[in-house]
Amino acid sequence: MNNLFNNYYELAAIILFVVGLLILLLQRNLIKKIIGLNIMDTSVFLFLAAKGYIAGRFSPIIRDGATDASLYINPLPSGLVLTGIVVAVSTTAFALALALRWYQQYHTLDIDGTVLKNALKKGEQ
Amino acid sequence: MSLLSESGRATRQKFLDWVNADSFEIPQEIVFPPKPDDHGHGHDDHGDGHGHDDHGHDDHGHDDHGHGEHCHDEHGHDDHGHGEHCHDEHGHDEHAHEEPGHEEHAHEEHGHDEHGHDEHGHDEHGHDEHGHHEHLDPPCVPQPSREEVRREQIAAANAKEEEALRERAEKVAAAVKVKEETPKEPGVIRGYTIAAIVCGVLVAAVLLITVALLPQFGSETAPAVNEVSERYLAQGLTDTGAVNAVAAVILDYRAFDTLGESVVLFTATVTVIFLLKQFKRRNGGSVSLDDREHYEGMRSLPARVVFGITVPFILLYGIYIVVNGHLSPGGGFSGGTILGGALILTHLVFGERHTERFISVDLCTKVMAAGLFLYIALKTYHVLTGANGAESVIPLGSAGSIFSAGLIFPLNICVGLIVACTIYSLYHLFTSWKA
Repeated sequence: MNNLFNNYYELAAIILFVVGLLILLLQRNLIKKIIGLNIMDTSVFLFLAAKGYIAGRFSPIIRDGATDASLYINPLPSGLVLTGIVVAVSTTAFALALALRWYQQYHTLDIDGTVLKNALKKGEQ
Repeated sequence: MSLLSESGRATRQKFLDWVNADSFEIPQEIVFPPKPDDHGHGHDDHGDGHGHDDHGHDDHGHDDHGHGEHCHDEHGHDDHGHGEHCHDEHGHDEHAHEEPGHEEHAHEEHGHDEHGHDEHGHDEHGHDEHGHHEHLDPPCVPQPSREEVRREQIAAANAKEEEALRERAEKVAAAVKVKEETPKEPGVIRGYTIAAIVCGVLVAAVLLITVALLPQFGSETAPAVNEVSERYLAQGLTDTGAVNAVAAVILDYRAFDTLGESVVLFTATVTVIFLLKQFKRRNGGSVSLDDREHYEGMRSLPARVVFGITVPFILLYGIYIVVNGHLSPGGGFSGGTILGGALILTHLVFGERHTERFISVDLCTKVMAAGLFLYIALKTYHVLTGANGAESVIPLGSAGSIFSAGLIFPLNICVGLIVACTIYSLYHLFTSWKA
């Protein structure tokens, strides 16, 4: 339990992740769902960046030719966060474009209402 | 004071309404065609310009009293016969003939009856009758039958169109009803909500237990700090010549990963172009750049002066971040985002025409494709020469100088171009879309 509060970066990441997940599941507006997805993305970046940190070390820019690995933090999670950000931007743009098409088609952003009603109708028949 | 122009504010307001709306209403642009109830209005809309209730029946009455005989027209006889037939049906015939004062009243009733019947069939009939009498009565010249046929065709086409419009309106109304009626299904909705909350709580519990079992934040002995990252730090400078270890990782050791990212960005942009261009075509025919309404930019003079001064510096800063990617924090992705932000700012402040003088979405896609191909060519060369710089002609240079680290410098520029173009073209595509 004590460890839970020592890992406060990871704790914040988990809270953000669950908030984003609940927005994604409970909101009926497509734009708000996409915002929830972005909050989940952000929490993953925070988690990865936190995992790369090592207390008391420098950022991974080699200083004065000192290539001792014990001087610097882990550079790998930073590269992974970069990949994640790029993919998040791409999926967000794609999702927003699809939301616009949805709005053009149904004149509403309420995805649950339309989909659920259609499913219910099919179930009744 | 608002920084946005009139159109900008309107767009923003529209967007905010759209996002914040709890009840999603059909925008005002969708005009519902008239319902069968207000039938007379529909007639007026179609250009007959004829007061249906009064004039039409006056004409009809004139026909009965012998004006129609002057014309000696087939159609006139048709009308006459039809009228008589109806009179017989409704039994108003005697009444109307005996008492001239009540004639109009009788005809009105008769007219109402006729209207109450079939909308579709009557529609054609009404059009026909009106057009015919309007032209025939004052000069009493017989019209060629071709004209009538054309009139009938037009009337039929009008009726069809109206029918189609009404059907579409009914469909939209049904869709709205679907949405409005959904809260009446509380079982499914409530079940889904409860399931979603339970799911969220379960995920939170599992992840919190995991966090509690993780090694302490910032510990040196965490399993993530392994020989891979140590190798990157210890050998990175001699292998790649890059002072920035992260740049060495993403553009040398794991360059295929970055190539994949760039392809993902390019694909996303192309997909958005496809999705939103179809939109334009469907809405307003073939929309060329000149026909489209251009975003004018801000009218505020202070904004124009301030951003006119700062945008070049923002661009310069972005270029600095890109070309120093192997020496300092940053690189193609961060610098490219700054460049894209500067382009967005230019578009926002100075308007579309000004920005399209030096960059447009078409140019963006070309630059992105060129950047991707250059990236692939450079990496192919790198792989063919042994992937460790041993046989490469390009020297690694002295660590810390701007022309060092071999291929990382040009690769950063490629990535920066791709990212800047992606950011700007996504912004441009989304803002130029019109509902």
